[in-house]
Amino acid sequence: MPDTTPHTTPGTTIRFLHSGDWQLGMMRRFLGPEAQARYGQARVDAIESIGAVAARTSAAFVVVAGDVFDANQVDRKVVLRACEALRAVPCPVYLLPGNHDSLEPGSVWASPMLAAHLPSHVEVLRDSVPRTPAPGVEVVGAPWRTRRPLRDPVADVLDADPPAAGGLRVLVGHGQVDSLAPDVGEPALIRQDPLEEAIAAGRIHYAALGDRHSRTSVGESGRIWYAGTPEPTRPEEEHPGDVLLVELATGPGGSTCTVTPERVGTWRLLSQVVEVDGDASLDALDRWLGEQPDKARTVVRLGVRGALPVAGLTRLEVLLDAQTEVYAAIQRWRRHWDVGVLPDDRMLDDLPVTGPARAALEELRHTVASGSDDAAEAADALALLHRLAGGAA
Amino acid sequence: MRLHRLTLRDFRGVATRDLDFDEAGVTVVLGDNETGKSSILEALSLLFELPDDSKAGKLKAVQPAGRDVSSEVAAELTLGGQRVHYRKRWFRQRLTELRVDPGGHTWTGREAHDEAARLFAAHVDGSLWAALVVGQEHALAVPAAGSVAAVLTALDESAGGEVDHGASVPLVAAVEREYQRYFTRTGRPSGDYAEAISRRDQERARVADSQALLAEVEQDVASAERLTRDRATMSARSREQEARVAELSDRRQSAEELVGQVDRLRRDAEFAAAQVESARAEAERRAALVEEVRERDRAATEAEDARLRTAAALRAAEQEWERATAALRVARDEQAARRAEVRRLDAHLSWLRDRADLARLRERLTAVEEAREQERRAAAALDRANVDEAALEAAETAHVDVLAARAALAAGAPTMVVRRLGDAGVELSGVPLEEATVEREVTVDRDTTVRVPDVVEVTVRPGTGAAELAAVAASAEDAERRLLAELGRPDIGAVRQAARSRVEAERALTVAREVLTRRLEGRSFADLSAAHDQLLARVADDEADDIAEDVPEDVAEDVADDETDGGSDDEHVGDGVDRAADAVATLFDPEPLPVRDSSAVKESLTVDEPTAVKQPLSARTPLPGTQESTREALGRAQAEDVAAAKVLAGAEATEAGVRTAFETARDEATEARVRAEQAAERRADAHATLDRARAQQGDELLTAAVDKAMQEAAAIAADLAEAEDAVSRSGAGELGERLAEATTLRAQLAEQVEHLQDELSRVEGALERAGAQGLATAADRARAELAHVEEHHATLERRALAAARLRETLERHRAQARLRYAAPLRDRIEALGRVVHGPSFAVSLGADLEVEARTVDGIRLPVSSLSTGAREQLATLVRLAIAGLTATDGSGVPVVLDDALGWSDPGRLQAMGALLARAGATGQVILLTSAPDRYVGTVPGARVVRI
Repeated sequence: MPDTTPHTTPGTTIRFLHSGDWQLGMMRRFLGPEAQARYGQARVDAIESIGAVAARTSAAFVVVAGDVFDANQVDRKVVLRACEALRAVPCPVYLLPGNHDSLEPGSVWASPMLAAHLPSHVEVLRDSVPRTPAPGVEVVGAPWRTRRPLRDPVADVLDADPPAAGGLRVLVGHGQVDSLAPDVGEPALIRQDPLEEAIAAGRIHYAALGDRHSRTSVGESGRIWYAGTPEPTRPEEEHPGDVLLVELATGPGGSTCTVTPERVGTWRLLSQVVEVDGDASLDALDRWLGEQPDKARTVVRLGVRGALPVAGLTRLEVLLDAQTEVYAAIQRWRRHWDVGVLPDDRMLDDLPVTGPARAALEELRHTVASGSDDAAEAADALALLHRLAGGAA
Repeated sequence: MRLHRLTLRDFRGVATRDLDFDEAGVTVVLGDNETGKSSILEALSLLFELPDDSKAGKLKAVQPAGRDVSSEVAAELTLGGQRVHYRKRWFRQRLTELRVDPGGHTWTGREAHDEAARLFAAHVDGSLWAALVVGQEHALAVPAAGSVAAVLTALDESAGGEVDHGASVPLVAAVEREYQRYFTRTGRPSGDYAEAISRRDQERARVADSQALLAEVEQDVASAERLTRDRATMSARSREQEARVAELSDRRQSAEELVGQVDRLRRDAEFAAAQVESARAEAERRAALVEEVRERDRAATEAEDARLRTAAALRAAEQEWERATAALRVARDEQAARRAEVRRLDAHLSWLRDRADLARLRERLTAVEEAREQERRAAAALDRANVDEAALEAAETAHVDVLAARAALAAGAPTMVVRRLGDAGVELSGVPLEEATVEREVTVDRDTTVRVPDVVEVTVRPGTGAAELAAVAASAEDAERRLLAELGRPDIGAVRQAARSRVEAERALTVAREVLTRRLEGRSFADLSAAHDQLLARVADDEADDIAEDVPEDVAEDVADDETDGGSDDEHVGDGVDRAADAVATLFDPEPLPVRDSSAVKESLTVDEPTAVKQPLSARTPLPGTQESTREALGRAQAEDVAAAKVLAGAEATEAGVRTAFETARDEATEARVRAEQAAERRADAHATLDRARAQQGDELLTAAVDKAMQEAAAIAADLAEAEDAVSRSGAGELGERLAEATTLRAQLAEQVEHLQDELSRVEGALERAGAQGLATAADRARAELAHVEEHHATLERRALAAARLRETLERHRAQARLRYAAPLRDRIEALGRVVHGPSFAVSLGADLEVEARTVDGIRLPVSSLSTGAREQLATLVRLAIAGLTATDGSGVPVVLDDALGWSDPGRLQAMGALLARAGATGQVILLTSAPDRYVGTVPGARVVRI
């Protein structure tokens, strides 16, 4: 995305990777222990994938814009594995403490284990002193020193002295940009206007941001980016799973900036809401679930709406039970889980039930039809009766 | 089933018994106790139950006690419409025989036993048998009709097919199984469901625990952040306080310096006050001295007046020898005047010398650094100045004696005047007269020779009177000399001087001591020395000025010489002696005497006296300024004195005849002259003292010194006031408190900083330890686990609630159906009961068709609360009702009651009898009893069999 800024002299070109929100050590409740372990490993593997991208693209360095760890109190195994995976990255790596792993007292960054195992080419941006990974290129971090700062976390960096003439400066920051924040009263928002002014003035040439798990270009400059999380963490995220390849160059007309997403993620977190009304709709659901690729690394948050005959309910359960075994997880989306039983089901009429049992059946059926509070329970009881009386054979 | 006949052989206590029972109706078997009524039921039971070779324990009890015989039971009954003959023998000659009619099928042995059992099971409902064939031990138990299959069958039949046992039972069982997958029989969660609940609760607790740990960490983080901030704030405050303490400390030091200055100034002020005092004292002494001079002047004038008066009186009294007497008086006066002049000059000379001494003394006194030395020297001088007041008095007396003797001698001895006229040498008493034409007048108080060698020798001998007078004078002079020698003084002047020196020395000692005391008080010796040097230099300058202005050069030179000599009292004394010697020498100088300004003497001399005494004298001068000129003047005065004596001798020679009168007048005149001389000497002394004092320090200088001391004192007082004001302004008093407060606060702040640091270290240590524990991961894992467990629990719960809901619904409907279904049984029980208990009798039945409660006359009692009789009656009623319900088909069994209704009153027994009879109408009723009156007569139509 070409851009012209003054104060730069031709000659410098730099290529680096921008990542963030690794959230190492994160656990997802919808995953079982086995899937949880694979998911955790995938987040560590993503580091190696980033290293591979760096090697392939000859990136000069990698910046990770905060939330490297999901929490300051992560398990030591997570730290050790991260350190191990970082060895695979063939260029300098700059890690920025974010809100999840802020430089508060007792932070993961202060742990002796990290100090002992962090590879030498990896540096934690504990301050805003410019680093120079390449001649004419500065990396300036804006670390979170507490998990609840009371001001724009990058403001100080923007106010600092500009880079030397002809130099390029990469800001590594973390936090929500005010233009995207739902709560503008939050004090720790990154204000977009000053950031864009700094870019326009040539004090900053690229803002590598973290916090937002969706890959996002902020504003019109093309130089403010959220890289997004390398492995998805929530179904709502848009374009997660990438690392950004950033190419900055100074030319005769000013500097240019090109940003290219590179895929590193292996997991998918999907949201799916289906309407059911009978066997055909269940067939469609079954088919959809069956068609998804790479199920072992796919999580489906499933909503089901509609009403089914008792047998259909039973089939839905069986169907989901079976697919749950194949997928990393199929999460029932409570908010969108509203499936009833069809009370005038002819199959109930055909059940070989007489006497008091028939009376009980009819009562339950009536309750289901009434839609009262205990209708769901009555429907379950009705389904059970249907099964026990041989209807579900 | 119908029992027709039962035969027992050697069964328990029964040897042989045959019992026949009617096909229908009531048979009462009446027998006493121990007659084997109960054995009937037992035999019937064992017959079908135990094979003939059975070794069952309960069989052993059947064999008659002590007899090794076989026991045999045979029964004839109807089963399923067939006539069955069944016989069995145990123990010995065992036997089992079965024959079934019609058809006459026969089985023996084990086959017979099995076939009989099969027939019994097929045609006799065991539950019904248990309900209706009742041993006496069960008589009180109310049977539950629901457990009697035959009853249920009967009820189903009466329900007309609406009750669908066949279809529902498996479903009910399946629902029950499903229910019991989740719940216990008492409705508590069980199995997987209970485990899921338990796991969920455990996981919740784990989550809560891990959350609590995390919350602790977060608290620690917040607290560490707060502590860091607080520590920074406290450190800043601590540093501020440090600066404040330093500032206050500096200020206090300055204030202390001010206070020190005030102390110094106070000491200076005290010293200045002493200086003022000293200057004033000096001024007062000067005033006293002036007053004394005035007094001496007056006294001298008076004495002179007295002398003139006596002279006039002498002239008046001695008319005759007026001229002689006058001449004598004049001569005497002249001589006295001359001598006074000599004394005056001599004294003046002493004063000049003394002034130099006093200058040195003053210099010494002001030499503060030598104050101790001064004191010691003053004391030494005091020791040496041995002329105290008594000695002075003695010397004065001796001196007056000498003067008196000499005066007498002068008046009484002849005088010889020798003058060399030519070149021939003339010796006067062996002494050559060197100059011609010079008269030498000699008082002839001894043999005196005038010799011109080779020419003449004239010896003049004094008269007897003169010799005596000379002896008196010599004696007086001897006495004075001895006294002077004793005192070590050459003359009376030296003695007086020594006496004054002693006074001075005493004062000097006192002053030296005072100065020493004052000077040393509160001050270092070096300070004093420096101050004194300064003062000394200044005084020396002043002194030099004064001397230059007021004192002739040679005095100044003397002073200067003495200064350079650093002379002592001894030297002064010595010097004094030297000067006295000078003066004595001057007495004999041939220089002319200075003429005293006395017009009366001049007048008288010009009229009558020979010219010898009127030789021109050197011009008379006022008191000279230098020692040299003084010595010259003294010489002149002494010469004049000699001349006067010569005139006096001439007068005496001329007027020898009037000696007596003259002597009287002479005595008076002598006395007046002595007095005048004395007064004049004293005046001269006073003047000399005053002049010396003035020469040392003029009056104006004394006043100036007082003024200066006062000014200095005022200046110091002003400085002191200013310094005190500065101390007051500096707030020296409160500075100490403020500094103490500030220091305390600084210590507190430092302590707080240290405390905060400790806290911070502790929290950071805790955080570091927590950091190594992976608490967030653990909490996440626990939450994930909880989510799963909750999911699992929710699934199970849903299933459990579905099962519970289904079971409840099903059971409810079944219970309702059962109530409808049990209605015929209830109706039958109540119909029978009303016969016994009246029309209000009602029962309520439970789920198992058991009687739960009985109501009579509106009083509902649970079965357990019924009396024994009532319960026995109720049990019998239920049995009869069951019998009634089941009697309709062939599967019915006889009602056999062993020793029942033993608790019923006769009225109830009568009613029960009627019911038993009614039961007998539709079935076989066998009543075993030992009480003949219980049934006999109460059960209409009953056949009684006695055993």
